[in-house]
Amino acid sequence: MPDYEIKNVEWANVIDAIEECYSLGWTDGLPVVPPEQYRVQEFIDYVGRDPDEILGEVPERRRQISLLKTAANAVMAGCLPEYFPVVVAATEAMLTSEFNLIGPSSSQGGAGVLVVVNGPISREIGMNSKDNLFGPGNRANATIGRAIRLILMNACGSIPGIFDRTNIGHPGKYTYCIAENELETHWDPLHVERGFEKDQNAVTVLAAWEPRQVRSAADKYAALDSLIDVASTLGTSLANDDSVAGNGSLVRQGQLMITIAGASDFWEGWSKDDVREYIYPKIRRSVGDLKRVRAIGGDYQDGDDDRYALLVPAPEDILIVYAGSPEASGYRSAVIHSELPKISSTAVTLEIKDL
Amino acid sequence: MTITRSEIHQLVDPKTYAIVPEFTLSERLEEIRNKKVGLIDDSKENAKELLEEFSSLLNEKYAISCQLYHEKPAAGKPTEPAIIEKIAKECDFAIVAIGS
Repeated sequence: MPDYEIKNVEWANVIDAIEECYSLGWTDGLPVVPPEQYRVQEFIDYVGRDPDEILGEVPERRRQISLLKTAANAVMAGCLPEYFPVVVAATEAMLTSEFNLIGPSSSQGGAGVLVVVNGPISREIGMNSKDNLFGPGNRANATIGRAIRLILMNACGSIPGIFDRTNIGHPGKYTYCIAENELETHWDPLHVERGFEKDQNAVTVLAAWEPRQVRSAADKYAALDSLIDVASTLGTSLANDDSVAGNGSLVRQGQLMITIAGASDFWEGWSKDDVREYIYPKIRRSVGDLKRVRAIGGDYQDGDDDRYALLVPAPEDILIVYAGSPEASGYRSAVIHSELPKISSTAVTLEIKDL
Repeated sequence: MTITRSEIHQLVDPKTYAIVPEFTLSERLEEIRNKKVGLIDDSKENAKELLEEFSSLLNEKYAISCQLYHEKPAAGKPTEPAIIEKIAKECDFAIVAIGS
């Protein structure tokens, strides 16, 4: 390990150690595990890769993100070494040009990086895919998501108020990581829909706003119509007419993630594609509505309430994840908007290697 | 109560630092009259209006012609290298409008 990466810090007890990390400006506001060299080395040894390997760059900020820095932040987040392959894959995914990290990590819109883990590893490391899906209580979910935020802040330079210009943000900016409940559904898992085999391990990242919970009557169409209502809200960054990629759409079109809880047999006879086919054309707003809130310009004209702008580019841009309590009474789901149009930031799925 | 002695611990610095390669600025123009300008619109609100007004003023006052107008597909994306190269070849200077 190069000497310049090491800081010699003196402390007498655990409280001092935690306070030292605050003094060094390394935390997200919560206490961190001090990234002691021997512990960081355990993480590097676990994946068996060169600590100086560059996982990706943030070219606009002239930052290169090495495996070593990724490991130090994963230690600080409270990860175990066996979580580290997931953190590495998620880091590589958010540093791809398709994800375009400079957008979601600096935008006033305030995205969190939502990490969805698929494949056997999610069960092997004990991730939560059921009750309290986005809530507290599970070490792997909590610390993998937190590692990504610490990497964003410490390694990618996304310091609030400096390069991170978020106006409001949301709690998912501390930690935002879930697994899909693959064993209790007849649906294909997210990573299979995105080109991987069921027994492969994969991670998907999405620059995302907070999950908006939806409760509805236990009827398929009622459930989907409730989802559509929330997904079509005017209060999203998608109801905006810049960054439309010159493709003729009136407003931005972004990806959408939907998590669906409840017993799988509720959806007997339906596939994820069937769900998408029903909801995709209905996630839209009328030109009249868009004009009334000045999302698009121009005076109101007769017929504007009967003309519609679609908010999602294509059916496959609705990412469906079966997760949340399978014992949910009634019907529960969550709608998660991408913070940006797809042209600016696209969900990326990568295989988790190094196991 | 036990008094614990301070010890030195070796921590791995989790931060990265900007690596800025050496670069040289383009030569400054001594005279802008009759030059050619390239305009980049970041696609956000008001960028187009600002550039239209500004290029009209430049033309009126200094006979500057707009050689190339490029609207980015999205504000958050960098301008394509091919466009930057084209502007560098065909224009004497460039103006970028950042809308809001």
